[in-house]
Amino acid sequence: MDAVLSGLIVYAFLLIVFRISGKRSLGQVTTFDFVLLLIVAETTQQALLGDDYSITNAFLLIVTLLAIDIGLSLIKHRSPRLDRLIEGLPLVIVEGGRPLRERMVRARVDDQDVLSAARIAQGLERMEQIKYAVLERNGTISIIAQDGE
Amino acid sequence: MSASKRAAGRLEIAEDLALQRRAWVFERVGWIVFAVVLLAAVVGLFGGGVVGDAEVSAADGALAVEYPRFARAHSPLSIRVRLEPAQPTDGELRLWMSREYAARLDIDHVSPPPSRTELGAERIEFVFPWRGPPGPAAVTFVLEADAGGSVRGRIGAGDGDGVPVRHLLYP
Repeated sequence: MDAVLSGLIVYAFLLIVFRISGKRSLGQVTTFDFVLLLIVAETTQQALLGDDYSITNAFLLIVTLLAIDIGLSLIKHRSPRLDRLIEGLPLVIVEGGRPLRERMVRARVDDQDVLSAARIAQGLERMEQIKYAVLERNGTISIIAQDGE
Repeated sequence: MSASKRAAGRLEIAEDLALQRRAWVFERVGWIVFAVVLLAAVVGLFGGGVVGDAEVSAADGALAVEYPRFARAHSPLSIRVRLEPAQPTDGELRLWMSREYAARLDIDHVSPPPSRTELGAERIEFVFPWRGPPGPAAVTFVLEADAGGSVRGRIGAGDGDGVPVRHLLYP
């Protein structure tokens, strides 16, 4: 029972905490994001296992976490509203070569992030070449180049 | 509320700015909660800080117990019993804890270690051999809880009434 309850509570906690942190926190774009992910993973593991190192405990936890994952994905499938609440929505941050400032400030994304994504995804050189830049739900920035580029 | 499908130019994307704004507000509120939690932790509300350290003394002043008000399960909890002065009987100093208290918290170690422990209906007693004339003494008990919750008990010396001790344990 311990394992299941711990798994549930920790999963819910992480869900809420990362929702509070905003889209970019786990984008894994920079070294710091990666380090953060590592540390969170380590801390979580300690809390979940406690001093119970049995195989049974490990299996119970894995099954619990997967079950929650499946359950959530079923719920999200049934209810688009809950899906939006839990996962968020994509956000257009550049339109027709012009950055949408208020949105970028609130989403804590700057021009450099957008330009970097543009270089990586499409090999673009300048902001004007970007038709749309979208901050996706998982924190990555997707780029659509201007027609003819 | 349905997501407004916004065809910005020819971009088909399910954007919902109203929901997004609410999400941003939720974020800001969350950050404030983070800050409050961190502040509370630094101050000692979650164990290990200034606010949590407590000391309780017996009426006659001979016994004092230093203990943390807030502590966490699965982590060491130190109780320090000070006797000023110790009153050994027959060359032995006896310290006791109420039974439920000792049952609730595992005893990791006692420093200095007692020569023996004696169980009773109401108490568990720790017996330390004593040498020399009566004087001040201090014993540290390191305990560990395996679950969260509120714990109360009494700790005392010899035949005294002891002093009340309580902890709020975080899981």
